[in-house]
Amino acid sequence: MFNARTIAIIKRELKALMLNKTFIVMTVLMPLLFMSGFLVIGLMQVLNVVDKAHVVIVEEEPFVNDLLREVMRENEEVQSGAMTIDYRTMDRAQLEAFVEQSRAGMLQDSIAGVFYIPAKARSKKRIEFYSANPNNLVLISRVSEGVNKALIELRFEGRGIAEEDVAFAQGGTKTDSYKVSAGADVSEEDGGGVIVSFVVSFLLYISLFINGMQLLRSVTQEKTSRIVEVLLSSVNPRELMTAKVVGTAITGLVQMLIWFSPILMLSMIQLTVLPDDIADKVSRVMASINLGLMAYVIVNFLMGIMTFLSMFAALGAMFDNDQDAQQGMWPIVMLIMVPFFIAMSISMNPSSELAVISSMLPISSIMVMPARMALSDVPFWQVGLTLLVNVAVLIGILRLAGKIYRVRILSSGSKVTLKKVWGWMTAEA
Amino acid sequence: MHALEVRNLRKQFGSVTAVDDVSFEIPEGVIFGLLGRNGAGKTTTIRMMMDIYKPDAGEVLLRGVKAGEEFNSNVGYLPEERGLYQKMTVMDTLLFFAELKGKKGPEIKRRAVEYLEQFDLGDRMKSKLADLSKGNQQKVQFISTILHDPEFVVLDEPFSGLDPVNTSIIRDMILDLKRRGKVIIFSTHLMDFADRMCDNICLIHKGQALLNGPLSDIRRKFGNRNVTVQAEGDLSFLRGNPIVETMEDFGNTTGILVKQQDDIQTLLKVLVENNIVVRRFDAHTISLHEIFVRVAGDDAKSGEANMMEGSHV
Repeated sequence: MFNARTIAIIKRELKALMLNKTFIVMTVLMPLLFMSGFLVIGLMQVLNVVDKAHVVIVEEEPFVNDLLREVMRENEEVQSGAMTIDYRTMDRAQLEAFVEQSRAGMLQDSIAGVFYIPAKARSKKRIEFYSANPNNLVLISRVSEGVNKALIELRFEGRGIAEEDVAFAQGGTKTDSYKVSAGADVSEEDGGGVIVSFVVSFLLYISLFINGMQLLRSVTQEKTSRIVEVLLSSVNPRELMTAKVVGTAITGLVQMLIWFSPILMLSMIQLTVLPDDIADKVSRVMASINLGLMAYVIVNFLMGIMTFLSMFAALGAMFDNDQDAQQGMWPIVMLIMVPFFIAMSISMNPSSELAVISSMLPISSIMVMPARMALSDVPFWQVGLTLLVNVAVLIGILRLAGKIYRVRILSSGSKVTLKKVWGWMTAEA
Repeated sequence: MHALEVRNLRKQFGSVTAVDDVSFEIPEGVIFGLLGRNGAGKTTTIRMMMDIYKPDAGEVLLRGVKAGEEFNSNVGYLPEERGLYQKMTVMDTLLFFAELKGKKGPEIKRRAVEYLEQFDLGDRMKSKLADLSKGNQQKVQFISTILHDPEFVVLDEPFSGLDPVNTSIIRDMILDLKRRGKVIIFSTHLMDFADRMCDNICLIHKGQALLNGPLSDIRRKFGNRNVTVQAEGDLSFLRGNPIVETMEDFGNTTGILVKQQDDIQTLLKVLVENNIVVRRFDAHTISLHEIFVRVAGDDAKSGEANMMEGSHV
């Protein structure tokens, strides 16, 4: 299979793919985008603060404002002046008129929002928020926290309950998570695994699409420009397809290693240059990456990308031009997207049945297993089984794609239907 | 032993039989023409020879042995519909196609430079293919076909889409390859070229080989009762004359097939008696085009315009 001729094709593919603006831009930009994305997320968590907000808190009956004022006075953002609060008392009709009157202010952001505390809030603990940005979760959490404290205090007032008991009732409960794994000690878990699983899934997803589309275009171009006929006078269709798949897969692997390199570099450099909170996060992420996971991610990537690239190559051979091929791409898109969303969702519970089954099923395992491994300890037999499944799927897909490629690469014109695709896959050599 | 032999090739696409039991032999050192109208089955035959299509039946023999790897690396192939990687440079393209045939190194590079200079492309080595004119791209494609110095050169419609200057460049290259002892196999629907260049031919019509062998033998066989006449005046009175079997008007000339060889003298006499000014009277000659019309019968006539003008769709 790998003779001098196929190697010549692989070399040409590598040159065409890597010495190319798209490759350089995508490869360099992707980690930068990622890094800046994570920095923004990190900064937002560190600087999870209200930014210059003027809030009006309206209550229906004067029962809670005095208490609330006291509670809110302890708020850092109020103290720093980032949040200013205006306390009013109005009935519902007046409130409606007031909201109407404040519309311009809210739209221009001079009023971040109006909180309304109805009388029944005393028993129902339900308040209202009027704003041009009603999803301002930070602001909502600040004010509702304060209102909650004030309501609790109000409720227990005069019942002879000690102040510290009231303070206890006012507080929330924080959960510290610890990861229990087979070999290592129990270690504190703070979202590192989730980040790793997200990064791995996302990079895999991006890489499958970028490289798959590249190969698809390359195959249809060779087909429409008839270069393929000259190539086929030197190599057979299966060799040509495999060489193109291997060339593109190597490009994908190089790209993936480049994408991973900032993470590896981060794990090597001192984290002191980063602000404490971010350095802390980064080191937790690093703690979730181990050699076994890295090795699996790379082996899985190679098998996964070869599986999908074979599908893309067959797809390119089926159609006469780029546009038609892209319209016929949806089955492959589904095979990438659905497992991708499963991989994203299993961070909620990596040992759910969905996670376990989809991490071992053909095709979906490519996306889900690495994510699951990053999130929790996967039994060794499951990893081994999945590897075997992946190898079998790769061999099967290469065979079927090779058949379609061989039948279709020199043919044109006929409309592609599932029945015909089946016919091409089962055609005799 | 023949250099290459095609035996009983057959290929069916769905219900259409594109090539039906085609056989021919190609001796060493000849220019071989695979002739026929568009859609006759020439390209399918060539693709089976090149192992691009698997034949439903039949085989290709290289010097008596079933053709395989060895033939593959010893043949240069120029398909009818040509294409090159537009983003590659001229030199990279040439080196890539040579490497595909297992040839690389400084010797190949030197030869590539030589060919490029011969084709006036010496200063375009580093140009991308996309920046070259169509004619120059075709030259590069032709060089890529022969750079690895193959023993066999297979050209599918090599003259289609070429302007007169490039046509003569390619024609000279083909003749030069022949002088160097290569076997050249080309398909064409242009009978005129085949007539002047080929030593041996195979004429394919509707997937079947109608004629096959050395062109001189075929000419002799068809030409001994044939006369090509160029004359002033209307020759239509000859139709129905007992000595005339068939008559074809080719515009400038008229091809006349007489019933017996002795009738040729009688024909000249009839022309003179009827006051026809005879400009040319070639006995025993026949063009490939006339042969084609004769063997393919009425079917061929409908394709005459196509054959004469060389238009190719």
